Amino acid sequence: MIKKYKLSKLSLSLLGHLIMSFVIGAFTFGFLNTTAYALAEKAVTKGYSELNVVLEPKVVLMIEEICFIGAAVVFIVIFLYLVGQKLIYILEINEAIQKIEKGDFTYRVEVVGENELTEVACSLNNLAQMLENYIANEEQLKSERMELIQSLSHDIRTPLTAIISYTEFIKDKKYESEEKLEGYTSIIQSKAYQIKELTQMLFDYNKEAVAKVEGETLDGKVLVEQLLQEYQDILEEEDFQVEIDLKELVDFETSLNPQDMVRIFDNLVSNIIKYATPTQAIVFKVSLLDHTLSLVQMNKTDAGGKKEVESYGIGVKNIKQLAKKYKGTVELLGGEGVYQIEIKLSI
Amino acid sequence: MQALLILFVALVVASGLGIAFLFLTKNKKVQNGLFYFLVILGMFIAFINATSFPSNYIVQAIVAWGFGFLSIVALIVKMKKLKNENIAKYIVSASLILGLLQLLF
Repeated sequence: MIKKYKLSKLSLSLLGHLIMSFVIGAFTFGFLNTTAYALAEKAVTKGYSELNVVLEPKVVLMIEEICFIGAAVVFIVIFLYLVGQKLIYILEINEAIQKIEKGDFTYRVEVVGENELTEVACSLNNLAQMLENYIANEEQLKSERMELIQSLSHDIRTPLTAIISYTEFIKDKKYESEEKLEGYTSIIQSKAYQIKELTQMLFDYNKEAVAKVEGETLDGKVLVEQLLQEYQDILEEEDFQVEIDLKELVDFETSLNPQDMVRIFDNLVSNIIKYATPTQAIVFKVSLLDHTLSLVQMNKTDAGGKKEVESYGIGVKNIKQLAKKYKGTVELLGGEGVYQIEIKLSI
Repeated sequence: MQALLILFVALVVASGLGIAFLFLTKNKKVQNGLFYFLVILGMFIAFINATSFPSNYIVQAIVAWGFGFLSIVALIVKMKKLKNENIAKYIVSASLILGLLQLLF
């Protein structure tokens, strides 16, 4: 069986350069030869030379040799120039490899021609693109992880503060009855579980991505009422008045993660304690419309508009992230001296 | 004489079609092939031109060779990969047209 031999595109290209250089060399030889003869004849007719040099074999040979050397030089120069373009391209590819090796993944080689070198350049560009995407993806994951850590660290603070406060009550025996003591310990326990679940999220990043409790549905209205009741107690203990409006809340089944709802309320209450004016009532309005749970919280802020409390806006950012998990939105609608936040969650 | 006429007509037709397709075609491969063909044709016309003159017509012969060298310049310009790729095409077209004009008139 005869093996089919296929010339590479690069070889064909080099062959083309060789032929082109040869044609140019031959053309130059023709030019030099005819011009030299014409000039020699002119010299004879003008009487500059006594001999008819055109007919002298030695002179003819010399002219032809000089013309041949001239044409050969042109051939070599042109061939080297044409091949040099390929070498320059190889050097460009080499430079690109070195730059990519040093970490500059944005560098690209200009794709020129249609031979094996072009394929190498294309592959190199694709490789650089892949690496660039990979690095960008890594960076994004890293930043998401950092955001998660920041957000969970922030959210852990609220139950942790509650645990510290209640354990101090117990330690200092600041409870009036055994029932109160039991109440405090159950709060401490529930807050400890909340912390446990939050820290678990740090170890299991993917769990954070699971928004809804799969296959489980809860009575949404009861969940909201329980949470409001719990946080109303906390706020009242901090000397706030709380008004709750549930007129537009109807019974509904939901797969919202209660832990996420607790985190949302924790952040709201934490902000209220930090910034709200205690003399004015804190309003909570919860409604349900078209499978969207709407939670509006409103309070007055102090006269200056801000208390002397350090804030990084992490609380609202966390609420926004949680709402995003449920295809929801968060809007800040307050004006001068009034703080209003509207959270909408798709149930 | 008849053979010469056929040769001249063939050169004119080949040059005319070559130049027209060089500018009209969008296919890069065809463009490149045509370009190299026209460079060789330019040199061939220059060679016929220059060798057709009597040996004492030195200036005219050198001018004819010059038109041929214009094709080589076009090739070098193309290899330089200038931003305006049409420059090489214009030069090779000029080489052909001037060579043909000198050949015919």
